[in-house]
Amino acid sequence: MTVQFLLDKMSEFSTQEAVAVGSNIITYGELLEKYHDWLNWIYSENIKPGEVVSIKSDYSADSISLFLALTQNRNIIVPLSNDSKAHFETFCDIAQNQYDIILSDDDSQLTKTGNQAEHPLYKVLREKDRPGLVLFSSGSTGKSKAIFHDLSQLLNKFTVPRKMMRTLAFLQFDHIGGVNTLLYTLANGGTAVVPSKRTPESVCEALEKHRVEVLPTSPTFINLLLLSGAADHADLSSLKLITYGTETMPDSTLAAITARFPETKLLQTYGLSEVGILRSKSRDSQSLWVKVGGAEFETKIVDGRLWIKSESAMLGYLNAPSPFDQEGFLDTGDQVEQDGEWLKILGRQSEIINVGGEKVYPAEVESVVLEMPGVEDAAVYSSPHAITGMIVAIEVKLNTDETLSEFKVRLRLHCAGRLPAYKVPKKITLIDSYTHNARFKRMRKRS
Amino acid sequence: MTHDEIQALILSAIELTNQSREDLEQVPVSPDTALFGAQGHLDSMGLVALLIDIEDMLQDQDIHISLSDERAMSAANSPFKNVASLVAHISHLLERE
Repeated sequence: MTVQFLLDKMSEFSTQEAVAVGSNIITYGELLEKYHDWLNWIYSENIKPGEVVSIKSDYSADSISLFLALTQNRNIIVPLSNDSKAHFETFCDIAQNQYDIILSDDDSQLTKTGNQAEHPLYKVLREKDRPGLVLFSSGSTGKSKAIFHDLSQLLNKFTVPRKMMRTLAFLQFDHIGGVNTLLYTLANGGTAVVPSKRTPESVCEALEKHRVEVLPTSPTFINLLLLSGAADHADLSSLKLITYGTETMPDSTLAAITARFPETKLLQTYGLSEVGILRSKSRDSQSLWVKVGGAEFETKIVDGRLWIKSESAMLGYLNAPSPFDQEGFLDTGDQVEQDGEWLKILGRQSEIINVGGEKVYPAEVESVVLEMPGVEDAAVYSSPHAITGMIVAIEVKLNTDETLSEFKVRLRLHCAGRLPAYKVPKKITLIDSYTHNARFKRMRKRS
Repeated sequence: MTHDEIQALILSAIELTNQSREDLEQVPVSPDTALFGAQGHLDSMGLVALLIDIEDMLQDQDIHISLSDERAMSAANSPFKNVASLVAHISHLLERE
């Protein structure tokens, strides 16, 4: 499978809006034109199939069409958005990029790095003459892993026609969610709307201006959206669906968002950079129970932990051992509760806090603390303690003038009756900034 | 810090604890109060919270010590038995500083 089916689709939709960046709107026809320009440029620069090319850019007509042209040329693409600017050097080093392309507003800069990209997994893909994609994990649980995909396998998923939708491109193309949004949109003649900034205000402005129907985002961003009041000043009546993933949804945030947008459907998505985004179905908008799967996915639960097998799974890590078992299943590291075919994602096994033998999931504690007036953000982590082995520790961002002692009393009174004593945060730190990273995923401290 | 200052600090930490405890669970604010163990007013979670409150209060005075290290846990006479033993424990830790 090459990118040809996408190009065919795109010419079918040539007069329709493909991408809206700020107030700049690009049709499918224009995108195709740019695609051909970039393809000719690739030939003229003599970039050969199988070579590893990094693109440093956020979403734009140029970066998207260049991405497609490199796919057509069967290159191994390393998209690097400004989200991960601090890690560009490390990531390029791991991916062994042979070419580096920096795209800015009206300019592009090509550098030949002199790197030899001889990773055994690269060789496997080159023998099949297929395009590749390198993504990096956020490193929230240690060092970033380089995830290597057969891009033609990822594309395959989109050959089945689905609903045409106007979707906010919340994540960039260096994140599996961002790639998924982009490819889904292009394959179905939808419009990807890129907000000028990822602030609640900017996002609401883009939602209103471009009559966006789908907002794929994270629980943390939803929380900020509600807190900011940005949605109160915008007409968001076009919004039909809000999807959330990448981290565990606190019950309190879900309850608040369904109350705020009663007409909008809420859907929990589940995906991992390693296996792609699974098709999912929430039991209902207020529910954290979800059915995940889809034609190309198989799941199993071992010791309460979810394992996934997928045709479109990555080939492997460039900088870590293969995580697949003998049958090709991958351990997601997520603990789940099961009710027939419905699952509830409890949280990462690695983030469970063991307080004197009792298990605590950070998300359930955060959820209760986030209910408190004046609490803007909260991130729970484990802290070692001589008496109980571990204790629940929490960082809280307040918009009140309370002292630490005053807040402690209020937090304890609020948690009493809602959480058993061992789950109530013991170590409390007041912080001034939000706890999330550039992709609006809550970053919990590691002790 | 003097013995009396340490004791005052512990008592104010107990007052803080009491603000979020029910009437029947109030811990007497007194130098004679039994904290943890026989006749103690605190369970392990309550003790952990009290110790952290005291650590936070010491931190406000720029004193950074941990009240529950390995040695405290293995001491023959628990330093967490009552207010008096906790005063002695903290005073000992401060001397070592």
